[in-house]
Amino acid sequence: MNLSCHNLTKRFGENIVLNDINFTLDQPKIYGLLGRNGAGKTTLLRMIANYIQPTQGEILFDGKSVWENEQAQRQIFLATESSCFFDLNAEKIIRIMSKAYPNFNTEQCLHYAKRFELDLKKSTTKLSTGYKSVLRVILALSAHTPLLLLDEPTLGMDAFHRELFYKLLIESYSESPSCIVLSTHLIGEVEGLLENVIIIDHGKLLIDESAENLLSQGYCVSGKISEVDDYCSGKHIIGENTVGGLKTAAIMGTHEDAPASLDVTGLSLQQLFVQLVGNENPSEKETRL
Amino acid sequence: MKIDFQSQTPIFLQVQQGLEDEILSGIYGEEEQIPSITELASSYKINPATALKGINLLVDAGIVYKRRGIGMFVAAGAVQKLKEKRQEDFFKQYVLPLVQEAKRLNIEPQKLREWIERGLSE
Repeated sequence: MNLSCHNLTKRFGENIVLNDINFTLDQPKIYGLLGRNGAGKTTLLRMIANYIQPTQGEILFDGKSVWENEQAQRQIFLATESSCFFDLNAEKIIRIMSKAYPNFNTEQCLHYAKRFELDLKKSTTKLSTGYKSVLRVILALSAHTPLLLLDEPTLGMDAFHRELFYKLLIESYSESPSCIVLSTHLIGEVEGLLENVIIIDHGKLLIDESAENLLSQGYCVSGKISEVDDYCSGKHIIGENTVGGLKTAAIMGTHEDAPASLDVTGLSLQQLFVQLVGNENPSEKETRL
Repeated sequence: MKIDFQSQTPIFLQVQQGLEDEILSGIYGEEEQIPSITELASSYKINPATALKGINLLVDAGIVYKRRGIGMFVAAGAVQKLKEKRQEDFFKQYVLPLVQEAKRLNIEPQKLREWIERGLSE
């Protein structure tokens, strides 16, 4: 499996949603696709899954354009909020999916439905937001496509269903690794799963690298305000926060010997994300982190 | 075992240390089976590749071994090996922070020695 985006641009009228995006997915890994609301994540996934056409550039799946490429469509599964199930019930949709995707495992899908207590007879239009998400993810986990695109998979799910979904996702990935793209705002819930991170900001590709590399680029120190300030001078600070007499600063660079009175911790993906895509002016940045 | 995503310690090392702790405290006895990669990954919500990396450190150190198609087991003599390894780290990991904290709290060295004696006798 190899999916590559070349100079991908999407405009809706005057509005440039994605601007000259280039990246490649070629390994059985879990990729995180992150970005703020309106960054262009869903548009990107919809283009990869052949729902909409790019304005410029192209997307190649195993060397061939995905556009109107039936062979590629059978190997890419997109689960997104706008997936249209008409007025059908889950049972019928499962049947349709089993014909559309060559490796679709109907038995497994029905088993998942039972574990999530999804009503198979109920029209999907009558399902709650959470159960619509449940249906999308059980279809996605049963499709066994080489490329799986999950757009906000846990939208509206309760905590129990979210945990169950992550568990099944890991089990499925662990048994047969495929390329999974996970787009979510709940970064804290998935950060241990992601091997690679792609961040889109204002339609541009900001980051495309391994989670390990990304997180090793920075660290946090906290302690007495004056001591933190002394330590930070001359360093590249990406965020700071003061609570009473305690100050925490996020610093880019490798961790040099901090005095023992300062606490040194790693950056979480969520912290790093907020700092990277926050576009407020620096004085407003102070209160975050 | 608890995974701390904000720790300076990489997750695969936390997996290694967590399992070592559990072997040392007897949760997994020698020749007993430890959780599979999939179980570890799904319990702690970490990538299976990360769990594997942690386990492989234990395999390389002879603490656990793989039985093809069955799973992973604690090696005979693992507890002794771990104890020796941990003893080497004891001073840095426990004694130095203890002394540092005692200084911060103005605990007199004599008091500290007494407390250690008391701790030993309890």
